[in-house]
Amino acid sequence: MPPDTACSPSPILSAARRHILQSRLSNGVSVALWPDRNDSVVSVHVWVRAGSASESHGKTGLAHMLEHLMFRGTPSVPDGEFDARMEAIGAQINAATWVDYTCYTSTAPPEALDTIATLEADRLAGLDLTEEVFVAERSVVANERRQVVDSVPEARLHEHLARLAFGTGPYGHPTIGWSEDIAGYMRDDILGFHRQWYAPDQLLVVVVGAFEPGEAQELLERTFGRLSAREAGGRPPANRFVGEGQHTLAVSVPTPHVLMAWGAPGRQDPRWAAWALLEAVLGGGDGSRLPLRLEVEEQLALDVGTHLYPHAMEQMLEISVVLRQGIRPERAIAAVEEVLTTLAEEGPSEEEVLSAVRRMLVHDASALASTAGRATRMGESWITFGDAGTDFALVEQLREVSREDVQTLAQELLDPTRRLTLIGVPSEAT
Amino acid sequence: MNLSDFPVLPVTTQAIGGDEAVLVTGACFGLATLRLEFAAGSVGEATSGTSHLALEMLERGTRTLDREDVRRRLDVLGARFGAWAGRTSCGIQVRALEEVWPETLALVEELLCQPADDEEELEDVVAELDESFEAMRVEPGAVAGRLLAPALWADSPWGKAPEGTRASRALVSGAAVTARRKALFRAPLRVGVAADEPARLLDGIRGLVERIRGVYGPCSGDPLHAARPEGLWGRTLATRVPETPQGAVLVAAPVPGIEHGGTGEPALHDAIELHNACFGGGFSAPLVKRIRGQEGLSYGVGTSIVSDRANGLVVFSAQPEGQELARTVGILSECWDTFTRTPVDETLLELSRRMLLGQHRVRLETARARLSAAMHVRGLGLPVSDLWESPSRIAALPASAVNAVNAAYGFGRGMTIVAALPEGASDPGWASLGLAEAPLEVSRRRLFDGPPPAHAAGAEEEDGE
Repeated sequence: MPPDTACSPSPILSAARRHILQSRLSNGVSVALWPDRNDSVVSVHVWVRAGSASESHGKTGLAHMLEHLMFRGTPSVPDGEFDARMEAIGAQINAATWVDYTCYTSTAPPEALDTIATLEADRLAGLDLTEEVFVAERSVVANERRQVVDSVPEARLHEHLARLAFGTGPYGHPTIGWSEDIAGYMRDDILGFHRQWYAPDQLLVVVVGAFEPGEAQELLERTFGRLSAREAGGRPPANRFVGEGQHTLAVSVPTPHVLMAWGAPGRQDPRWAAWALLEAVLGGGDGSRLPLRLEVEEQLALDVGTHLYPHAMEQMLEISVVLRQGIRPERAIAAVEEVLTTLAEEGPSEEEVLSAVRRMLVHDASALASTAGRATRMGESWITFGDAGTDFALVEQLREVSREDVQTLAQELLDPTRRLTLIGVPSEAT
Repeated sequence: MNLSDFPVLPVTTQAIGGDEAVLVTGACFGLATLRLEFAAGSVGEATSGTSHLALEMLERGTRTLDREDVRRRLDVLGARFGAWAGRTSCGIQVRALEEVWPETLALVEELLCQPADDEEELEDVVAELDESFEAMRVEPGAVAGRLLAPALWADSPWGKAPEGTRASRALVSGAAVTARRKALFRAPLRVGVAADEPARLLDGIRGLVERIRGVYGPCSGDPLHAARPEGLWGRTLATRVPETPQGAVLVAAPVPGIEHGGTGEPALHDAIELHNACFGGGFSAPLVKRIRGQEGLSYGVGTSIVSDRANGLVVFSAQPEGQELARTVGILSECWDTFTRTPVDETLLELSRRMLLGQHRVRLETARARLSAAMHVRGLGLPVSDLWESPSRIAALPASAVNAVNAAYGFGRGMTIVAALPEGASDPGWASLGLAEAPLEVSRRRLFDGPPPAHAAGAEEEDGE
């Protein structure tokens, strides 16, 4: 019989402890390997400790724009060649930018590892961008923003919520950037950001899958190890939750959306696990307290979601409610407050804790079955903790949270001066 | 990369009663996935949306559990349960830790075999769906996607959305839902299991299948629908969307279905896949380089193949600004003309072969992904070995096979265009495309709310068989 999740260690944590090898190249680039001959492919991720939090006023979205241009040419690999060479070795390539990081991902048959390492190291060394390429890609990014933010009411609401929550702080602007900033980028802005942040001490190379670790280490030293050693220019300022009060924004939603947010510690903070359990008990599953109360019992909401961001610096816990037709926002807010009051009085039940642990095990087993999933978790862990293995222990941390800790946090959320509320109201055209 | 060296995958099939089980072995960290797929869906129903509601109602309570109990039970198991109804198939999928597998199977059995089909819950499901679609109708990509089927198949069952419209859903009664589920769950069933050791779970799953057959009756043996008809080509349909600067466009053209191709010859469908990779399937494809890389017209752009046994489609998609919409389609036409007039470049061909092989390797990496792919190929009537044999066939395809596709199929045969346009935007320049028919504007209200189907209004619901 399989072990009982109530007390046995997570099989994924055990695997991570068994497999992960970490080191540093001579120039300061960090390396994390997870070799496993049972895998059929290999994933290579390059993580840069610079995302939208590292941008300055008037230049928002620069990290994301750079991510796009990293595919568009270097002195030795002309525009179009990076994609072609990667596709010719069967690699699936992508990239992502978020507040604390930018990452470049490739997954391919194992024999592609040499080529991937060579091409990735090359574009980290420097770019060669023509004005024509730069202008076309800026247009692609402007289109991306119109497609994924300006045409999606929920995205516009969340962008506004972040602005209210963090003001002009590092997490207060959208990762994709404000439209007017995108329109104003110059090529030198991009090259300057690359020079400032893409330094070896800000880089992690993750390799997961079917490879021989000794050979991989040599390969990475031959490629990424040749990047010029230097230190990145500066650190983003501290982020603070400054949101308060109740606000409205008219968007093309058919019924009001209520977003409630509270300041929460960064992922590095030891209290984060208690916040994660609080979030799980409130809304982590369809049978959690808020969905049961608002969607099923009172039928106030079409959808209720909770989210605790795993960002490095102080961030927020968010509850989002999509109201049913004819329901007033005040009623939903009162129902949320009642759920918080009960949780503050009773604390979570043993069943709720077990449920949260099992859901996390299911989530982890789903996400980490692939080499890319494991590489992503290792990268996120390194960005936050400076260690590629720490984040695999979250399930164990959840088990150690006391019921009183969750009660205390629920009590804190009831303080109206700590809460930011944004109500998305239907615009006239909707 | 050795192009012909695609590994045999740990995917097998075996009989389970009179039905079939697909077993996939792989590292799953103690997580098991079960998928039950019936070969019947919305195209066999009398009132649009009935099959969808029949599956949605599975989570709305049983004879002994109400909706809240169902949610709590699933949650404490940490299990993820989902049900769906498409045009030609429907079913459920559940994922849970093996340590709670017996309890999970027992709950799934209750959901499937003892649904309450409570009228009040049905009303609520219908109301929730109506409200959910209200949100979808403001997003250009979703609106264009919704428009494609009616553009291609008009008022045939294939032209209707499986979820139905507000008007059609309002006609569905609890009795109709129960009757429809009885018809759906008598269709041929395929059972898929992915786990560390799937054979270990088979006894319990066999019991579940026996119970389903016992409750709903033996397999009817035949699919509940006819083959998908040929699409209507040369049409242009557009819908206006408020408060968005962005448009969305889909362009479809015909290609043969997967059953075409001579015995002993490379399957035509493989050639179509390779052709698509060369033209618009990857970042290096000329169409993508032109529209995104050179012109910067759209963030997401590309072509894909959607095929069933009888016939298939090649579908181009992009989301440019509203005023750039016709220009984007114009560039698609121009690229297609150039591509079809020129023998395929050997370097691009080899790159595309390797890209497809790599995609297959990566796509089939995990047990759960292999399960989805295996269920798909079995649904098309192909053996599971097609998962690892088709890459080898593609690797061996000569340029002449791709050039033959060039000449015979695709956008040159007459494309059908659907578009979501920003409300208030001027004509996007349709005239520049030399369309065969004038564009037809379809209101969002008609697209999502729809009139009641004339034949079903006020009529008793039937099984649809």
